[in-house]
Amino acid sequence: MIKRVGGAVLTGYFSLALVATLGLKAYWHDYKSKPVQPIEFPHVKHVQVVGLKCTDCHQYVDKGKHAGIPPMSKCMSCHESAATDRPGVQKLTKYWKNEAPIPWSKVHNLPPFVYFSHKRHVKFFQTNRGIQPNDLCKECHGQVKEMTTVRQVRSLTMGWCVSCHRQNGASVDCYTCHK
Amino acid sequence: MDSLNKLIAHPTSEHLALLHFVLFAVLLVHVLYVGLVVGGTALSVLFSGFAVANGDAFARRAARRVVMETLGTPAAMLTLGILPIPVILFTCAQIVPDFAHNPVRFVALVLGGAVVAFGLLHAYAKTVQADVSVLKRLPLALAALGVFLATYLVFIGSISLLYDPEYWRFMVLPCQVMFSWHALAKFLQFLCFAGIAVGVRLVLLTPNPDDEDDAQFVATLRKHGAAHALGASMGLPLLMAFHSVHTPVVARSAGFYNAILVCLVFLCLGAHKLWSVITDVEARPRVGVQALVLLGIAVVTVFVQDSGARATALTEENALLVAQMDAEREEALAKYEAAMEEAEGGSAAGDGTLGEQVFKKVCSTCHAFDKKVVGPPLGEAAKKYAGNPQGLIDFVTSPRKIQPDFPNMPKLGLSAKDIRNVATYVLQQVGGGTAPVKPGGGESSQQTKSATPAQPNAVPEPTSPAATAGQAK
Repeated sequence: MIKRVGGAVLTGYFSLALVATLGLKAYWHDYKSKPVQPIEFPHVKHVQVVGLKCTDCHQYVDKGKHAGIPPMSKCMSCHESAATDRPGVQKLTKYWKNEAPIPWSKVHNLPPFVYFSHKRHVKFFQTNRGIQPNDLCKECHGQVKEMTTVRQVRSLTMGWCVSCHRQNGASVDCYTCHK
Repeated sequence: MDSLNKLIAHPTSEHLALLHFVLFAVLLVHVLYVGLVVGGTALSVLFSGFAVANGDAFARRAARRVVMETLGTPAAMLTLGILPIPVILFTCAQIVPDFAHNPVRFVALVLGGAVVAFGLLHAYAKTVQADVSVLKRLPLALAALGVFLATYLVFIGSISLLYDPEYWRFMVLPCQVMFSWHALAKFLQFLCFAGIAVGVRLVLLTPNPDDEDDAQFVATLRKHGAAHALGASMGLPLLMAFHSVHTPVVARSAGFYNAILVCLVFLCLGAHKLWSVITDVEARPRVGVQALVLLGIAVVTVFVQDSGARATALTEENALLVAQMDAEREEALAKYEAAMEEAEGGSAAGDGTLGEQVFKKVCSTCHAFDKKVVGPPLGEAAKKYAGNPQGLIDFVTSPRKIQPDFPNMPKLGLSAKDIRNVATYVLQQVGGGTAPVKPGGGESSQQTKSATPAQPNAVPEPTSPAATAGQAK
């Protein structure tokens, strides 16, 4: 009797653990994994092969809060004739001809109560550390030049932000990020 | 540190895969052995405590037997306990790749702690063999356990930190590793492995056939072992769930969760076998072996999961290293080809017919002679190289922005020969003639003029990737 009850308890316990793990996996898949993009934009090709710099496309990184996504006209200035046989470029051309925006999925999301300015960070490192904008991106976005579609490699949690602020002598006052 | 970094080799993708496998295999053997030792010592201390408190003869005998069965010989301590640590240290440094990174430095610190802990443990094993009184040998065991736990909290934390790259530069002191949730979850998992390892070892005990009392004693000890292993197996799912919540997103993948699912299935089957050993004192040794196999697969799955998490977290960093290696190899190959051609006194002028083929295949995507495509019309742009084909060759070899109205021209990855042929073709088309060109380009051909051609694989300067990274910083 004890043997059977014990066996059932064990099965029940491990089954619960299995269900919990499936739940965790589903949560990760829906909210934390790499987002599916309408076009698999190969950063690795554009940076490593074509030789583009981050600021060539994300041109507002030192001018405003947001780094910016390049306008489709920028893509089409090359892809009207370059690599037109690629499925990704054909998709891009379709959006261009239909005059429809590309519905990119945002990869790096901060909560709405956090104020973050790309310009402020880029200027700080440029002025105080002599790091140029194109060399700074990887600190928060990882080695994007080795990615096909971008994934989030930093947690963007408050602990991480504060650690970096402390290390670089930036303000850790609440008002700095929570306006 | 720089001299140590010179030991780091330039990795290829195969090299990196091998390093990840070596790290997985060495960690598996080392951590399980240390788990067995720590679990055995802790259980022996527990039995000793019972023996002192209750004067229990079984506990006294069990304390001695557990130590004898789990600690192993000094040779085992050296080969499985101490020597793997430098191997792990060098493997981590190759993967990261820098000896100066904090997780690697912390692993180096662990070596000293492990030597002290194993020394104390060896002394404890000697006191047990010499039948020294329990009160005299307990402080040694407690000291060894204390050093082990502190050392392995740092060790496990440092290894876990490998798949949390965002905190590498913030974890300056080893104590910071100790107090992260992520490291704590992995350390508690290690204690579960210790419980499973020592429990299964006791389940597999065989009685001495010459001693009639031994059969009864071993049966009771098996029951205790099974209870320990079962408790540890049941703690593992909770810790895996806790760990999966605290594992950085950068290290997670579908495989990460699938490994947990596989582990849970085998843990469940193994737990049933252990339960059979507990409820049936006379359980056949075969059940113990089955439990060993099932729990062994579960534990290996956890190590596979960790290895996968490390590889996932370092995907881009490792890809960058491989790309650097490839670039260096290509550069060396180009220099070699150029030097070979020069040594053979090969034809300096390019072949326009072959150049036309390359032009149609590669260049015509962005260039035409009479109109703007992506790049400027070559009829105008290439005219300035008339009579100077070397200038055009240099530009195509290392393109730079000349006209602000046009995007950068990419490096095309063409061989030196193809570039010379296509330059000849373009200049023929724009009426620039085909003046002789220097094989291998201007500067590089000057450098290699008198040198014996080097092998294509020979990288000229043996600078380590870490040193390169340091310069970049």
